[in-house]
Amino acid sequence: MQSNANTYNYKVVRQFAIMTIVWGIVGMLVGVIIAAQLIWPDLTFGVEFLSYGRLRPLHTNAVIFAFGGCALFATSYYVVQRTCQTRVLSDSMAAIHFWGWQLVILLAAVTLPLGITSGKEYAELEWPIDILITVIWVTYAINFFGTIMKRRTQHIYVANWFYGAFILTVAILHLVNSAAIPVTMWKSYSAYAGVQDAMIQWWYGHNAVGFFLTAGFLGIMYYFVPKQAERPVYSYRLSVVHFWALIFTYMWAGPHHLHYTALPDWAQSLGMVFSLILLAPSWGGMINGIMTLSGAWHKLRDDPILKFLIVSLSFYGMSTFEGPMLSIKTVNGLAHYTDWIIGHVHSGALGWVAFISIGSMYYLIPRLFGQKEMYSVKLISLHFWIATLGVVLYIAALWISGVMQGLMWRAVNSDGTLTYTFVESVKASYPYWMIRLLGGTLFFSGMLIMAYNVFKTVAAGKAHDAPIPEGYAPGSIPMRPAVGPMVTPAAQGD
Amino acid sequence: MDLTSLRSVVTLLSFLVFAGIVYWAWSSKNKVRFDEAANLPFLDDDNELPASSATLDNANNLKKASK
Repeated sequence: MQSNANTYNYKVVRQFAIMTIVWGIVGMLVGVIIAAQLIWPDLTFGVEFLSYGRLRPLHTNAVIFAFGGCALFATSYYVVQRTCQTRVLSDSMAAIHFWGWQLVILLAAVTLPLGITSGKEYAELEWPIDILITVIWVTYAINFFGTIMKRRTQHIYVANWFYGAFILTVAILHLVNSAAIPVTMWKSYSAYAGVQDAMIQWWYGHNAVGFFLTAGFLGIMYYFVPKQAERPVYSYRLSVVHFWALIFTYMWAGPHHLHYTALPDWAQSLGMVFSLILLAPSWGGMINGIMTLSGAWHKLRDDPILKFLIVSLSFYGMSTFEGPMLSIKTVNGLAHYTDWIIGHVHSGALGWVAFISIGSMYYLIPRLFGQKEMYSVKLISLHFWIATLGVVLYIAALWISGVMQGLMWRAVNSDGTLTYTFVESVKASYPYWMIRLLGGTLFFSGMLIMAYNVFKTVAAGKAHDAPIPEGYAPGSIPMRPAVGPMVTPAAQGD
Repeated sequence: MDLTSLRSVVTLLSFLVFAGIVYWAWSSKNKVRFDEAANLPFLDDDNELPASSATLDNANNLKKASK
């Protein structure tokens, strides 16, 4: 029996990894239900708790904070321990983080269908839950940064920089945007008013995209792509500049959510310019990830995990090209409030965030349960193709319906009256909503295949905590030895 | 100094800091440290199964390398 001090804490990684898949299935099922509700509004028999307006925030919270959150926590604990060559700072803090976060998710799953909401997009949870989130987040932050502080390597690997930025920035965003005046136990009003409230909400909202759904998942990319490709990242120097460029620019892009509103014009233009600049760091990071495979492209042919990771970067590149384009005011005038935006979000959320999470889970699960690989590599491949087909159908359908809606809403007759009523644009959207439902269902089915594959892998193995290399056992070596020159897989040639 | 000038100065400073970061990242005297950092994920082998000796070998190689 190995003592705790000589192994990595894989327990918390296992817990979050399993819950990533569970919450992924729950969140995407709710997504499929609301996609169907758009076509058949009476689908849930008029039960108020299951109405579209209440399930929609449940869907977004579940996929972003439950599925995406658990994936980030699982991978961050794995990466920070392994690249720092040390066990996590505190096992009990890790346990508080895990169980506390599950409690937050359960509270969300109860309060949102009950209609308890602060009405701020992606920050709907009411003030008592917000306080709970703050406590848990601080616990996570202390545990993560504490692990980095007790590292036994000289450098802090770039993935940890991205995770660190994600943890720090989300804390600030949450504190500022959730500031509210409680009136009862389950009702509060924002501390801000009018256009300031809107600006703070979208400063939060866009940075939730930038730091929760981007920086954190780039942390996953910078560890798992090199590991699965068995070669160091294409350019570490580019990754340093990528990091700082992203940090310098993302903060300012929020106003593009408020084009042609009461927000001062200069602020809208500022948001647009910074969104355009964001293309550079985004593509820099994407190229850095994809080029890591250079000289080893053949691995892509028969490794479905690598397919997930690399295709996620392609979708990242696509959606970070689309994003700056949509932030241009005139383009936004056509696209805003249409399905195009939903398509854009899902090209990022399904294509980038979910794909890289799924890829990293397929990497982690066997290692966490003492197995060499997943139960079935063929099923990973099947999952990959079903999911890819699902995303492509989803986003293509919403591109078409989005542009169509935008054109119908702005069409005017020669006498200045509107050519179409709003409901005509709804009617014209039905075929595309059917295709979207099909795409979403395919993606969801992929998750079920994954759940089966994971179940069989876990059932065949048993929980395994990897030892920290003996040369590095606590106290037995000088602290923070310099890492000598290593023979890297890249140097060995292919 | 009025608020507008202060804002301009902050913008300019931020840009200079960023330019400094780019210079720092690509300056040749930092090449070794970044090469080392890039190899951190490969410090030890996480393909090992329970009771495998691969980890130990890898750690020993590392110790040799760092001397």
